Amino acid sequence: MRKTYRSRVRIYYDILNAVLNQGHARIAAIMRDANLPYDRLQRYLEELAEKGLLARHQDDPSLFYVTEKGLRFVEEFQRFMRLARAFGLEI
Amino acid sequence: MFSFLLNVIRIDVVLELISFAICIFISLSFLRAHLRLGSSTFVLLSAGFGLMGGAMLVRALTIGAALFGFFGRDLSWSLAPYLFQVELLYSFVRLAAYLVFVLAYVLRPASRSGVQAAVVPPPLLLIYNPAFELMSVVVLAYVVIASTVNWMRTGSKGSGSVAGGFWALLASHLLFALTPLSFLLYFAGHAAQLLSLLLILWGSLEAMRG
Repeated sequence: MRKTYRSRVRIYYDILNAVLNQGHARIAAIMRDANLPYDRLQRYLEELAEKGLLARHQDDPSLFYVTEKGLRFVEEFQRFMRLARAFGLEI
Repeated sequence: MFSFLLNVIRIDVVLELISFAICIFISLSFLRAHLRLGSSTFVLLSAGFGLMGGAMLVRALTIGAALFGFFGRDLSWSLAPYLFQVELLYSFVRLAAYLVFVLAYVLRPASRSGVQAAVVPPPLLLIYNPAFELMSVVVLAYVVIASTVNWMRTGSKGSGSVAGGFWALLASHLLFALTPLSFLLYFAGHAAQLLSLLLILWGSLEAMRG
């Protein structure tokens, strides 16, 4: 089967979506749901945190949650994903 | 006969300007999507519709200025000898826009599944390029098939409207190519082109609404 290419923004969405699906998520769950190896996921988590889309829990830093800004990104991405799919294209 | 043709061409200029406005609106919507997400898919769609719109604007303004003196008689006289070249440029830019669409479908598909007659009226020879129309049909066929397969797979209203829009665009080029059979087909081609852009615009808005 042909391997499909995921754009960076699509990977951001998959990570945020994986966290959102569980409310709060640990790295192992995000790795599984977003289908990413540990080292790459670490890099993306840092990028998402820098952009203010994702944050660590103050009480338990191994837990991640999606910020308000991250929620808006997910909603916007879904809107644009529907648009791209109406054309039969992937973001 | 000559004044009738000029009047129809005048309507064609108006339709082309409306199509230009729709193209630019669609192109800017995709550009906004790209600026938000940084996705190459939206850059390609924005570039494709932008090229189409730009070509339409240049053509409509040049024909309007040269044949109808939109911007004064002096400009009309100086532009008239270059109508054929402008039409050629228009053809190349439109083809380039379709190739950009094909590139988008090749690079970022949602899933992988697999005679010119000699009776063309003289004024029309300046603004009619059968080779471009036939090449456009060939290039657009790929986009039409890809968007139709996508619609059959998803069954959504938005993708149906987009696929319908590309079918109408294909039909418009076929109608343009058949213009030598009847001049009305040229006018019908412009109507089909306008319909195609309205369908694509509606499909995009419908998809964004969810």
